[in-house]
Amino acid sequence: MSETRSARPLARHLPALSQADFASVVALVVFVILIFLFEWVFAPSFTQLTLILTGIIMSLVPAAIWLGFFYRRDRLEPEPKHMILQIFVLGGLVASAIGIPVLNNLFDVPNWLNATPVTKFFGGILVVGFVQEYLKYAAVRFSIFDSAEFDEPVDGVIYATAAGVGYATMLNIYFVFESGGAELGLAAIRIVVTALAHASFAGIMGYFIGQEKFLDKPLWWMPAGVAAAATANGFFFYLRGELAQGSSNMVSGGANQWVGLLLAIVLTVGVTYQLTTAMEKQVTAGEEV
Amino acid sequence: MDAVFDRLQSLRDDQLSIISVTVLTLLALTLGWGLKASVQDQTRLVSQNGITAAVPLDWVTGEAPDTAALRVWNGRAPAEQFLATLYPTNEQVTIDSIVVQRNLMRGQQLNSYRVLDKVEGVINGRNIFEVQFAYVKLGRRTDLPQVIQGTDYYMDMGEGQVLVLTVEAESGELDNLLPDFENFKNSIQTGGTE
Repeated sequence: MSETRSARPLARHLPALSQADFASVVALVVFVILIFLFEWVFAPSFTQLTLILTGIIMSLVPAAIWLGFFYRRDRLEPEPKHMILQIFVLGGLVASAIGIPVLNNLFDVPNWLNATPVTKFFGGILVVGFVQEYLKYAAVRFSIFDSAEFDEPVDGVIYATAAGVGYATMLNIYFVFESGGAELGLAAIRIVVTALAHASFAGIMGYFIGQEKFLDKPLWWMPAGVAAAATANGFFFYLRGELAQGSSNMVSGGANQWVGLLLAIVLTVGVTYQLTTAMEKQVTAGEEV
Repeated sequence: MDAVFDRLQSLRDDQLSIISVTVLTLLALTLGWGLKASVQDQTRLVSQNGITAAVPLDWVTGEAPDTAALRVWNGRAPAEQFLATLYPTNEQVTIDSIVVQRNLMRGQQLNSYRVLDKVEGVINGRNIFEVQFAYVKLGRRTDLPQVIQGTDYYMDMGEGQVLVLTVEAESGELDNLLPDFENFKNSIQTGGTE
């Protein structure tokens, strides 16, 4: 059995985290449905500028929902709001300053990744997955990790998720600018899928980082965590691409986008459940000792 | 003393952990780079209207604008395309007249068509022309217009034929296409099967 390094796994935030995650999933689905209803009922016409502005506001919705639910639930011993917000912003900054340029310019991903299913699968893991998950890891590891505020294993998941949501928000803002705005409903699905997926991958990595800080783990532990998150990242987007074939362009393939949303919901609920169960077992074991 | 030793050990473990994650990531990226290089080096041969050429793996054959032409375009960036067109020549139809004719036709068919530069030369005793051009592609009603840049290479092939090779891309992207276009140009074979 692992030996504690400097703190017992208390998991004071465990219920807050899982409730925030589940509530966010429900709220985001409601958000997508409301956007579709709004588009259907009012059939609004946008100029290029108002479409982009609307897209940017929509990009911020998943972050607002997740942070909002987390703050409401995290009452017992709340994480400092400014720290969560800082990690969220840091996630967005590393995406904008490093992640997107490295993937789009250095690795030229848009011009080869989708050449064949094999390149999409392995390139998605080895290049996209590792770049994105390493940056989220770095955002947590080189900022909050050594802080006194990072005082229990579940904090790894909380701060990594904040970094993941920040990363996803920046990807969504880039998407809105690149596409010059997209149809509202389809853009809403894309934004929600990206946010849920990146929050989940980061949650996986955050579990490993939280354990790393408070329990004596072997040298392979943290590389395995980043590799697991990168593999989940590459596999998820490969699977979404295969299931929602022809809909990588947001303008087309509307029906198939719902499949992507369903997949993201399954991923988020699955990851949250698994992480919560694993950490609850740890708490129980800790109390029994 | 033990506390100091434990603290040092913990710091060492932390550093080793960071290094191991970084090394693993670099290893993955190196493998990814190899994958990228292998994909980008891959080409396939396509034939259309008796012209055969090597094109990037993920490019697709498009409807050719001329009966004696090969047109391929990037499946993910439709503005990026290569064309190869063969023109018969005789005493009346010369390479110069083909240059003039094509530019006149484009001026009528394309929005804001401009010839940016024209260079004439002789290679191995045969005339060649390089014509750089630009035009505006309006696209769908909701799309922003795109400025397309391109270059035509007119080559006198002898035996009464002029081969025109064209590369087009969205303004600013043309230089990125040139390595692939060079492969395309070098692999051109005329008189192949359809």
